[in-house]
Amino acid sequence: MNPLVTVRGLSKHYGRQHVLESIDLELHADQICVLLGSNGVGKSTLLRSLIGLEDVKADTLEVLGLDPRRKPDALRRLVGWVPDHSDVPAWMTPAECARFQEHCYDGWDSSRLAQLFDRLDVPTRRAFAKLSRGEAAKAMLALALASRPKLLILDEPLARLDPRTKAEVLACLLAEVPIDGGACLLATHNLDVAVRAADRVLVLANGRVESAVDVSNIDSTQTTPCGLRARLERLYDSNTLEPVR
Amino acid sequence: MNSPLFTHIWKEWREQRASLAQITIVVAIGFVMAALLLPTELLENAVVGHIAASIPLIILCGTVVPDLLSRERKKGGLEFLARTPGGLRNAWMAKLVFAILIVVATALGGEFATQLIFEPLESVNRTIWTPLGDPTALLIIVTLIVWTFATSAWLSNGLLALPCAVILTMATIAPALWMSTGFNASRVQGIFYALVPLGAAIGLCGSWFAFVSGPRRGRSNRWITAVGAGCCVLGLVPSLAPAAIRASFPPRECFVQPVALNDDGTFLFNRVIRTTADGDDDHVTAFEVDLATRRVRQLGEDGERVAFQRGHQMRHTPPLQWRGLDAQVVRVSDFRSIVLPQSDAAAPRHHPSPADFGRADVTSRFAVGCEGSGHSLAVHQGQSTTRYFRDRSGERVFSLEQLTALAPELSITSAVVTASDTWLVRDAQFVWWWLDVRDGSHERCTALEVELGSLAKFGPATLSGELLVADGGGLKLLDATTHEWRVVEGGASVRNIVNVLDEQACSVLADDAFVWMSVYIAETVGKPRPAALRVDVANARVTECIAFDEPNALPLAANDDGVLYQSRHLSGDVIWFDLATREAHTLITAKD
Repeated sequence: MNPLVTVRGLSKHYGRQHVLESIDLELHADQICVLLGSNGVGKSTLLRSLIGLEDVKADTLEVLGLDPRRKPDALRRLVGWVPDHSDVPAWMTPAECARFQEHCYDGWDSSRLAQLFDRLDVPTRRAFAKLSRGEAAKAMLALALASRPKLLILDEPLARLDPRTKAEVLACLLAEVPIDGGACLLATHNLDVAVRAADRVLVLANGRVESAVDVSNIDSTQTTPCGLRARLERLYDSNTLEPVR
Repeated sequence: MNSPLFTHIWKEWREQRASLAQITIVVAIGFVMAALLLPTELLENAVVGHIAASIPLIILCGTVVPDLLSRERKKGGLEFLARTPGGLRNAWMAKLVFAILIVVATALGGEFATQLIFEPLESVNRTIWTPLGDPTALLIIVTLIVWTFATSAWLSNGLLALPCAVILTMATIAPALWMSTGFNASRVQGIFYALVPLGAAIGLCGSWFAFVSGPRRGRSNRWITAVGAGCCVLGLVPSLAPAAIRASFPPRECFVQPVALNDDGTFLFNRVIRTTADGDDDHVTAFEVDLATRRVRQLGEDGERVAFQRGHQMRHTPPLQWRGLDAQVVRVSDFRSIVLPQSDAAAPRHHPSPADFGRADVTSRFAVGCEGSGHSLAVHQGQSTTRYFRDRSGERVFSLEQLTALAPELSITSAVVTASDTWLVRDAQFVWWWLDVRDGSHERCTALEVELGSLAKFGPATLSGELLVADGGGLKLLDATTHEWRVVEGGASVRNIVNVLDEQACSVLADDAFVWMSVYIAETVGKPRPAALRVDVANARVTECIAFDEPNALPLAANDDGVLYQSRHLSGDVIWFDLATREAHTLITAKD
């Protein structure tokens, strides 16, 4: 089966500073891929380049059959994006944001959005500026899922959330994705999230994919979540100066 | 909100409505304060009205317009729009549409408020003096707004957009204004004005690249700034290139030299093309226009000109023989009784020549343009000039010396002939007097104040003895019989005329009921525009004001159904303005 995301030799540099170098990545349907890495390692840049928000060089860059550099708008119709912070205009309410976005996505499902808002207890009539960080994160996740995206990209969606909200969001995420033959790419530096969610883990360091762990291929009888976490921690430790716990 | 574009427009409205409300309140308070505190003279001043009507647009240009694009960068909304499918494209278009909508709404609102406060509602042709009715002012304001919008897309600080736009607007408009000075052409100016929006459109393309294309493809800020600024520089090219070409070539002046109006209704003139700085004519062509049929006929060959000569005969002469003669229009039959001095040996420049001829009788079928109904003739011989004044019946002719002898205490320097025996004369102190040419009795003319007397410009006189005159106090009707006077009501258009009336303000045709006057109307920027005013003499009101696009159109002659105009400088066109249809028709173009 063709992968949904194929990246080969992707590089990005700002002036003389190389952020990403020769990144190779494949993401298949029904897969949740977690991108692990410390701050500034290039996780967000890589995710942004997958929907054409970064001007990158790559030998092959194909997402859902489209080159994000050539057809960014067509691709963005198929992709759900959850940033690490709310980028929605502060005056907008989640309900207004939904009205604003529903014309932009072909697969927009208002009833699904209503369910998600309900389930996550999102105050739909309150402006984003007045939402708590957790409420905003839940609203962003619900809005991203409302278009039934083929590829869901989450850039540290759980950063700076309290444990309870984090658990709520993660539970929702695990329940909703991947969507019918779609895939999910999640960037985080939280190992617990990776352990719970990942089918595949990529550890990014020094602008490269230093390690890749295919969790789904590990025999479940041979490893426990605790063991997997330890394994990821070792990988993570070996590639970062500041391991995150 | 059933399309992405409408959704984005709704978003803009939500984001800007507070600012718009604040601006509305501030401007409304400002207008009310102006209405309460400003003296009447300022409220009636056209320039103040112009400025007042422009203020809301300028405020908009400095606040909301640059904020439309720059706020996305400043407040992080660019990321949201960029990740939304078609978000940047739709947002840019929505912002442009929104900018147009608010600019139009503000212009109309400013116009309405200005009319309400700065001008009584009953004014005639009020749109002439507001930005909406003044193409040049409108062009400048629209260009400023477009540049503000364009530069705000790539400037790091939206507050810099307005100063930047002012510089770019000046850079694009200034060459156009420069082209309108000296040997200029309304036609070239028109083309030039068309290039100004082209430049602004290129600037808009830059804003598209900076706001849509760049962020959508993840371009760096440096790329965005470079492309946006590059497009702005490119946007200057359409305006600057013709100016550079114009500066590289010697200026060319093409104008009409009126010569004579024949009793058979033909009007003779030379069209002169001059390209050299010393005033030599490069090319002259003589024409004859039948004012009734509007048929045009070239006289002689190219290079030959027609001139008025002693003995009232028209003769084609070789080029340059009559160089130095200024424009003169002569009704040939009017001065049969005056014997012009013999001066065949005189140098061409000092050859006897009739000049400064006034309007013909209002009862005549034809009229030529000049001040008042004064049937005056200046005869130049050597260094001296003799002025003759003929009464309306044609029976009596006075020289200026003879008029002075009638009332020696006045030291008369000028006179205007009216339909009655009482003429208007001016003394050396610029005081105007009613002078009875039968017995020399005189009375001070109170209608023309001393300090404004030197500014007085005379329009046509009617058969009933009234004379139209404009001075700094307005347009007035003076009755030569009763010596009473009335102010002609006409709102802002009349006041504007008074501000700019000069020697070229002419009467063109008159009857007892309505008088057509050719005048100039002030513009915000650039030269005044010529216009035809129709004055209802009985009610002392301006009933119609038709402004011409040609900035240099001057009246040459008229008959009952139309007025012959020339347009000077580069174009050299001769236009026939039909009084019935209010349409201008070109009789001769520069190609003829």
